[in-house]
Amino acid sequence: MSALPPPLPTPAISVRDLHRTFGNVQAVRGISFDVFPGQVVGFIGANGAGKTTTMRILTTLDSPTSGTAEICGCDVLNYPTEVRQRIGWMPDTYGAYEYMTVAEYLDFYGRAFGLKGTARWHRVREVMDFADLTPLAQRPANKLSKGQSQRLCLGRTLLHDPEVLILDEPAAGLDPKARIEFKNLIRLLAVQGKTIFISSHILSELAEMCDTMLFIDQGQVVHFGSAENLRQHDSEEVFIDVRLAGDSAALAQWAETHPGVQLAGTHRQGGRLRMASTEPEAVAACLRQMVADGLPVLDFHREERRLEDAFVDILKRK
Amino acid sequence: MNKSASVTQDFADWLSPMLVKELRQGMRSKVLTTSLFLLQGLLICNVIAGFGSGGSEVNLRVTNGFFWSILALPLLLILPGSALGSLGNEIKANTLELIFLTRLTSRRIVLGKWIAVMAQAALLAVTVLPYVALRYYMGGVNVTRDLLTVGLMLGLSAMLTAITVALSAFQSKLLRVFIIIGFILLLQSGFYIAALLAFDSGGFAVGGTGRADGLLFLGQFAMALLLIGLMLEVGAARIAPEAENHAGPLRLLVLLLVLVGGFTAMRAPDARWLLILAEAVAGLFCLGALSENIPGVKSLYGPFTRRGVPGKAAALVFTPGWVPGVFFTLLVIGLLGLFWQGAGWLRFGANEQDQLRLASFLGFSATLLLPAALISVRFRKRGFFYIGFTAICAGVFFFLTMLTNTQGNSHLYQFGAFLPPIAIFSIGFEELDEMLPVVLLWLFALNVLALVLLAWKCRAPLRDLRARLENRMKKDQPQIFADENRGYSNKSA
Repeated sequence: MSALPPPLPTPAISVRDLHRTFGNVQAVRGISFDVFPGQVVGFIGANGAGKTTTMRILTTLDSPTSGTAEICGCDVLNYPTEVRQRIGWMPDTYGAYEYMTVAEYLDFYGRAFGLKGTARWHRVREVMDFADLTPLAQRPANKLSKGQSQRLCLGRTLLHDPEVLILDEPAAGLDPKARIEFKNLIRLLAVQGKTIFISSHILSELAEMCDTMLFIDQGQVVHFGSAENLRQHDSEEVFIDVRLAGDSAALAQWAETHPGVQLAGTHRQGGRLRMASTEPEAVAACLRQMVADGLPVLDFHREERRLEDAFVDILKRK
Repeated sequence: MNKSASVTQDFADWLSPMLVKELRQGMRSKVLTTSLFLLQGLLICNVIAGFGSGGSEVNLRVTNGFFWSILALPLLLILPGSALGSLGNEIKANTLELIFLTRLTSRRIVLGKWIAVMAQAALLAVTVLPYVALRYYMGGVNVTRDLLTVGLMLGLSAMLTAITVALSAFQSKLLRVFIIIGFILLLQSGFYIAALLAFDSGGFAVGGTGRADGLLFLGQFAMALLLIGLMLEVGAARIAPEAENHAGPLRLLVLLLVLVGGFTAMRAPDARWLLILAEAVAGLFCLGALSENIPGVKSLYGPFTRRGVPGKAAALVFTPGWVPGVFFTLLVIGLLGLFWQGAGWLRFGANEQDQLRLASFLGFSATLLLPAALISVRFRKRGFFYIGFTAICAGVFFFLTMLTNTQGNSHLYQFGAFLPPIAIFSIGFEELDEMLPVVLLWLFALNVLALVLLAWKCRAPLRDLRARLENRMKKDQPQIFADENRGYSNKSA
């Protein structure tokens, strides 16, 4: 007798047929997905696609027109208090207070999250250490750089040790150094087992941080799966970079005589070929044919498909 | 005890986080420091001027007036005014939402903001005390009366601050203006009616027994506390998420206000203005209740469902939405009717004055109920309908006033008497006395019409409300109920 598969855990985020309408504008149109504990999900979409609206519904800050959204099994509309205890929300923009230092800012939120006395003091210190805010402790909270502000906001998000982190464009407007620092912080949180739901425009960055990608367009889910899956299986063509020992013109001649292969571009030592088939066997057969036809192949590799291209392809198909 | 423990186990741990934050910010703010230094400077000048006046009575009166003006400026203007941005700035800076995601409720946020401003006001008042003592040596000063005046100013400051904190939750400045105008209009029409009644009954005669004076003081004190609570609850209701029921506490406070105003007015003749004030406030909140859309959040009804039949009966008045708002308005009108009768203002006699009072009362109730009856159920912005209705009434009233003034004929008001608020004003003109039975009949008919229309319109929403209270919902309303197969179900809720 075959054993039953183990039951799936309760999703950390569960969304079913979610709709949100503002007047005549349908911001979210029936999206459904599950995010399981420990997953790091990238939420991608163009401006106005419905990302922030969905995130605000998940954080109990907005109400759906219809459909349900649950965090760790608690409905966001009917059990907002329980949901808030389980989530950490980092909005794309937020204001820091006047006349308040970084330490006081975190201390206030620590109090507001119900942390008392020494426990609060320790937690604020932990968070400041984690987000590298200790050197800024006595700086006015409203006089920080963008990168420092984002670290402060992340620190605030972590004060009550939430199970689910919902981050809306956390890396927007950061310089490259701050972006790398922030990415490292997210990686550390992922290692700690937090469920992270993060939106961004910079797909390559999300691909490095996330194990799953959720694409949304005009309020509807257009792709939900891993970045690798997206790159490998959701494409109708493959690009191959070829370097030859001799003249690159030979590659153009060879491509003209072989159906299913097109020359996409040339460079000094070879060129890029576009293949209509994405099957690995077809790619291997192409290389075999080149060698058999006497082409002096020095290097032959299948190009990693860029996520931006994948996203555009998905939108085109839609 | 180590150093870290002593640092963290501070006094602030006993206070609300919002209050700690507001005090930290408020005590460092320019508003407080400027007010404090300005106040001290002006008071020093005032005391020097007082001592230099040579005991002249006129000079002392001037310095006395100047002293109270100096104190009134920060306590009644600057600090309450500074609270006008308290909630609005948080909403604008996107910080309020972050606070909502903590354990702080909207009520604690608003209360923290109000207490912080009051703490600053108290600080300013305390710094004035040495000058109060110094003024004693100038002569002609009663220290006890001065201290009572400072206390009274603080009380007034508390009320004004509560109002500004509540108004700060309204993002639209236009709406703030409409609320203030609406309240003034209601209060003005209330006092207009009161003046008519007092002229006849002598209800506002000065004097009374010592017991009545005590009751008057208690009534005023209770009303002030209720008004502060009401205003703070308004602020909390404005910023609260949809899943919180603030309509219930608001309506309960309004009913308490009417009860306190009514009982005081019945027992102490001097306190009848409290009933008028309660009526004006209640009228404004009835308009608000009748303008509310019905929210689709199941958890709002849980506390009522759990309390069986009494809970379900309470839900008819204390849950958000215009349908419970109709029941609430009817309850308020009923209570006011009882108190009007108790205060001797409302009698069903053939006498002209009795008819006058009855007409003004019917005009008040029709002003509230008629727009609610005329409004379409599908009209989403119900509040705009009331604003439009008020604007039409005001427009017609001003047009008729202009015509009356140019033609010198107050009969012209009868052309506007088809609108209840204008009917109230028109009945005060002696030339229109012969029209009184017609106006009375018209207002009575309008009330009956409004009640019939409302009864008809409430049928379907009442069925829905009953279904919510009995945990039954139609399948095409998934936003109300969570999926029954996940986590919790209707049965367990």
